[in-house]
Amino acid sequence: MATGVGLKLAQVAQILEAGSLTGQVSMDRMIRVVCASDLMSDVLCFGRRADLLVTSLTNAQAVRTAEVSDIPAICFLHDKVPAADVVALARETGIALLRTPRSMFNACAALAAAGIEGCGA
Amino acid sequence: VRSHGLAERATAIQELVYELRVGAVMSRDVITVSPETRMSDLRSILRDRRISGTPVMEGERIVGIVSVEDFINWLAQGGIDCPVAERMSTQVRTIVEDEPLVQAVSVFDRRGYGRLPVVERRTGRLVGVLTKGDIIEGLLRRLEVSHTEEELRSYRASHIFRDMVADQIAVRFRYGIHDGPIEQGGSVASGLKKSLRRLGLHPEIVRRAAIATYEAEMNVIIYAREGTVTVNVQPERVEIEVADRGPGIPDIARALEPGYTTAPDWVRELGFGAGMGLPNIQSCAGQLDIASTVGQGTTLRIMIPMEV
Repeated sequence: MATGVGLKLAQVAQILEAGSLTGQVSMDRMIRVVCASDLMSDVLCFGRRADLLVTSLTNAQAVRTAEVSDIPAICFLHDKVPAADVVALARETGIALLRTPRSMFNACAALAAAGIEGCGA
Repeated sequence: VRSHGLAERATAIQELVYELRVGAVMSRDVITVSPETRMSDLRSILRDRRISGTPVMEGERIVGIVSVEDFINWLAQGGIDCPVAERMSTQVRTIVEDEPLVQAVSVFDRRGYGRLPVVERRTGRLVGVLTKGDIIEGLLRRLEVSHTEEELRSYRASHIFRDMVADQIAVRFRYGIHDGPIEQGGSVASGLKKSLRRLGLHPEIVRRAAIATYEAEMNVIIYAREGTVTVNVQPERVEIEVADRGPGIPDIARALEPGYTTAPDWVRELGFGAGMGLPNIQSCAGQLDIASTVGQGTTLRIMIPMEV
């Protein structure tokens, strides 16, 4: 079990100035561990289960990767908007989607400063 | 197969009470009043904000706490208007934000308080208020996550391995990977994941099987366009066979090296093709056998033991 108390997804959204693409569901969920990558294989191989995937990949594979690796939420970077069928797939699989104007570096830096841990080495 | 009885749930709550900090469950949106606030105004403050008490602040300093009880006593004694300062309790017990919940539970238990002002350790500044209700809500929220997992365990089609009587038991799933839009990549892994969860397998085993299948499925889509996935679930292991009639792997040893790839650029746009597919499958599996003939096809046999 992770040591940090973590933040609610709603607080993470606030820190990243992120909007939700899937409504207010799951915004109460606790986020302790984040996985950040544009390479889905890298996400799949991190041994530790993450609570949030931060990525600039907005296709269906990002949602599938989250689903398969038990990651309940995704935050897209650079204000990228996924296609409607990607949002539909997320709804169907119960995965919350956010989008932030931040870059990968700045999003991760802000999350780390808020005490969120990363997965992988 | 684990059973989740009341005793285990109780243990989980006990652990949470030690694990969770006051700061994680307290209300941060604190309503305060000043010593000069009139008792006659207190009623609407308590009623409108739906709270049963509030800290009394002089600037940054907590000078007292006033509750519905104080208000009722004041009414009972005639309700002659006066400043809150005259009716508040000045003995204020506070609790520090980073203390474990168990500490707060014991204070509530011993003193019978309704609420505790929460302060920051370093500065002593008021950062929130904690009530018994906040504790219950915080615990329930944290239990919710494990509860979903528990529900899945009880919804197995199930005890299947325990209840069936046979020398050998296996459940077999078969999926086709069809030539089609690339966005469908992962649908087999997703279907398998749901099925394995319903069978009541441990979430970590389900996760490994889903990840290995997803990578294998993407490989089939990228290189061979179509193939089959056959999954055999036995009490001691999950075996996943992924077969295609694609171009085959010329050099299996190199294909297993992390980072080695022959994937075209369009695959990278999907977030794959970085040379981690087979190495990833290998790290999820207890055993991976690859049979491949150039020009004829590839068959992966992925074995995942049931031990977590």
